[in-house]
Amino acid sequence: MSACAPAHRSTGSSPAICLMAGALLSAAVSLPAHAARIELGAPAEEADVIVGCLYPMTGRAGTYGLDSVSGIEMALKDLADEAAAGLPVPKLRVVIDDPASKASYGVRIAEDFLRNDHVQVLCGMVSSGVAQAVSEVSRREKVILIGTDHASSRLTIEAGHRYYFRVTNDSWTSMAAGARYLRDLQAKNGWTRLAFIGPDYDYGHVSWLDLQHALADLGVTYETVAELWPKLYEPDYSVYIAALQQAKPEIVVTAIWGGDFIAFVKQAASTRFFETIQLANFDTGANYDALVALGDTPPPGLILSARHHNNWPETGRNQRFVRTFHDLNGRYPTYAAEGAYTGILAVARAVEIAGGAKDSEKLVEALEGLKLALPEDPPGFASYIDRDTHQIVQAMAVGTVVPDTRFPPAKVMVGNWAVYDAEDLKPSPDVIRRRRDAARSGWESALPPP
Amino acid sequence: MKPVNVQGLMRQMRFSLVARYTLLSLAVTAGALVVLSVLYERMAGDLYDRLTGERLNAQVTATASRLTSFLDNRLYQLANLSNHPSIPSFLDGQNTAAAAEATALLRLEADLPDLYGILFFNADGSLKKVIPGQAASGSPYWSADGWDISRLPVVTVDGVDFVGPALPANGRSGWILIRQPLRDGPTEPGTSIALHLRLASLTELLGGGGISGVVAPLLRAPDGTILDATGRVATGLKELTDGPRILPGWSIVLDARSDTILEPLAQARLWLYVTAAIIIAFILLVFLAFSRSLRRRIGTLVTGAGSLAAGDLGYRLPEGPNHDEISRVGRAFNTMAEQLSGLIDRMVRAEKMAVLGEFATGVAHEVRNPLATMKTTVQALTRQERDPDRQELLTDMGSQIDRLSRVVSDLLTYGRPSPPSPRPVAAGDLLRQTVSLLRPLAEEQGITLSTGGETGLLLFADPDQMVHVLVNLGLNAVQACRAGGAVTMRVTAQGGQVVLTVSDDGCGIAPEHLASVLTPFFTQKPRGTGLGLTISQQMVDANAGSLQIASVPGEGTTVTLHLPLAGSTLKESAGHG
Repeated sequence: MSACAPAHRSTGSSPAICLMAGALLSAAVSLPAHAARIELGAPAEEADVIVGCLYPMTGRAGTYGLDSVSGIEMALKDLADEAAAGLPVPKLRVVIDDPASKASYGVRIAEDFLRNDHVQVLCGMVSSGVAQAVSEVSRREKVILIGTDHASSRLTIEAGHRYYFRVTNDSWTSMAAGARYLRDLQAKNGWTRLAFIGPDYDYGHVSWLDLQHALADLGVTYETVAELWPKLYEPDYSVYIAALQQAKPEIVVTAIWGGDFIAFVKQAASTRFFETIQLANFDTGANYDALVALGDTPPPGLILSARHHNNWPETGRNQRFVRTFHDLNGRYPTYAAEGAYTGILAVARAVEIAGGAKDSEKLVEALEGLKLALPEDPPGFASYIDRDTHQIVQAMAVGTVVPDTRFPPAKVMVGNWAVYDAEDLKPSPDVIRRRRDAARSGWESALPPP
Repeated sequence: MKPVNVQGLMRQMRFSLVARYTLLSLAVTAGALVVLSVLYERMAGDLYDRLTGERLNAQVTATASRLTSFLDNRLYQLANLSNHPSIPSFLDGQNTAAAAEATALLRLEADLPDLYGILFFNADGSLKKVIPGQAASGSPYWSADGWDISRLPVVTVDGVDFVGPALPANGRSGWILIRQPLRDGPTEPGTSIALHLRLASLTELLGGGGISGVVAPLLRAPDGTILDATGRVATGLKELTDGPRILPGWSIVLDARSDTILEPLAQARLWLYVTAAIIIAFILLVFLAFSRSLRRRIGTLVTGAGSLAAGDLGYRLPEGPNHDEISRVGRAFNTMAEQLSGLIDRMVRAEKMAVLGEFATGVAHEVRNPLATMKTTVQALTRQERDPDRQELLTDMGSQIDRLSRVVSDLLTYGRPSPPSPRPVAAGDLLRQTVSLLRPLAEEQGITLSTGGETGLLLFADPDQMVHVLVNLGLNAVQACRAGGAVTMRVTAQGGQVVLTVSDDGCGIAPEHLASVLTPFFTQKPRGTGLGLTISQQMVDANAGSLQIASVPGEGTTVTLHLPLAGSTLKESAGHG
């Protein structure tokens, strides 16, 4: 099926959106200066539920927005196939707009969705900064918000509320897996000097807190030699790379993501950074676009993972997902696609269970504990939404870069996997309680002393 | 261990050619290194001066301009917000169009990546409202509790407070507040608006490591804290120099890290000197080894020359596998000694032969005529004598006279050798004549006589003299053999010469006699004259040949003649018995 099939996509303000999106999908590097609103699925008058999604389709994060749109299309197609097979699947209408990675735009778009489109469920957001702001709209308006991409664990722990759910790994999950990987690595090579560099916004800071908590829970001893906070979309990392080199860490963990991560790696690779330092990115580093950017000569010592991998797990469901995405778009997906796909499936299943979307409270009850069999689930496990945090519980795989040309134009993929069970990666009730208490008492975190 | 004679060594070195060349090489190398070092020092100094001179001033001025411009933009943003007419509606919490407009404006303004958000303060300094931007994190956005700015330094410029810096710590970024009172109006008096600014957005403008990391521009805050380009407290400071002021209390300071560039240069210089020392030490070691080897080899030459001078003409220098100058001198020395020895041998022999020849000729002349008279007389007496006893005595006397005549004849031949008339002659012919003359004697003594080899070879020599020589050698061989023995004569070609050998399996010659057998009148035979071999060698020499004798006592003797080859050879098979 074409990505621009009229049955699944109707244009809103711009009739040229299909052509434009097609051009974007074929060349991810040439993103538009302005994105337009996209409407998918059933017409408003026929829809059982209207979902309003916010994804960037411009700038460094634009690729993730475009992949999310494709993920939504794939979910709608799967639901349509189920309906055609006679299953009681609700009809979804999905409206998508671009907050341009700005919290102010995000809030305004979310409010417009509610006011003008009568959206019953909000979804999306790549940046945790935008998600923080939109989550407040969700809380205030008592409208379900399904987070599909952003990952700050503050959104489900300290700032979590009844109407906020997230359906991809968050920073806690990734850092819990990363902490286990680092623990095992320490047993092998005895590293002790750790530095962290993350984008200077909520996601970066929370990722660092998550990692420290997870390492402390595991009893890993180490010395933090540097904490650095370049701004989001920083064009020049040279002062930070130099500062890291001066601090002489053995491991640098980064939460820099997307185009920023690619820029950081390229700039670091032009120095002697990788001669003595192993760089780890547990949440986004193995995203497909980053692997493509590594070319065929990646710097040594990279430790990577992401919220979805095209080559793990090698289950039929994941392979079908990756293949279908490729058939639709002529390229392989970033993890954003699977996040958006999951978000739409979660909404559909919840509406199905709640018997409609008019009552947000019933939707909340349906979403709490909802089980979903997803492409990223290893054999024998199905993701589910934790009743307390509303965070989806999923397994993770962390690995190193290996030559792999099965997913061109990428020359490398992640391999040498270390797989961590989903249940092990959940924050303990004690961690959740301490963090929530700390937030209520006004402290930044409930960190153990370093 | 043998004590080192330092004085001797020094004296040797003073006069040693090798030492002179080595010292010259050392002087040239050391001189070049000194010149290089001077140039290097000058270049390093120039480089440092250039990096820390004019360009640095330009860089610092540009850096100060960037920081000032950034703050100017934020001040302009703050002024616009503080003066915006709809802000009071927003602060009052009114649900009006003006409040909505202010909310949208504040959200948009707060979304700058350099800001965490926009904050409003009451007159008492407590927080009134916060507008988080996309970079907002932690206090005061997610929890206002614990937010305290009372202990931060404050600098006021034209009614604008610069609060901070709050330093990065415990997972949080550093920041400063730029705060300004709202314009007079319906809001509570003393209410102020502040931009919550990333500290790193200001310090990043300092740039990286300055110029090639030599001078790092840093930022001094009002509380004296020195911040680096990442917004953290700078550590490991070296030589601080004050730079331009950005704000009251805020100024650029320069950390001149001369060691950043001078240390590698000093290290490179150290390596240069170490390398030079190693090179000089290596040259000295090579010199010592080379001079020792040269002294040893030249010492051998000197010893050889001394031995030669002392009369040891047989001294020869050892010839090693080398092909260098010393080896060539050694070979030339040996050749010279060889030729000198041969020349002296020939001269001595010639002298000896001249004296002996003159003496022998004189004796022969004096003896030959009386002998002839005695022979004639004895023959006449023999014919007339009837008494058989006396006749036998006379016959014996005649025989002795004949022997004396042969001796005289030999003496004359030796003393007045006739010049050879060389011509091409077949070696086979010579051997045949010789064998025919010797065969009766050989058969009589039961000796086998045989010839062989390339008998068709033509040699260039006097055939009569050659037959004479071969017969003489053959006679000696036959007489040396016992009955049943064998004498072999062979002819071969070798290196453009004909080689004739006369071998026997007789008693051989004792080694102590071998050197004397060519001396005139030396003989071991009871009836020999001691002139046969001497005359043979004389004849062979006269025919441009040479004669060598090799013998092993009890196994036999081989005499080898080398004679000139006449050119073409005759087709004649070998093997005459």
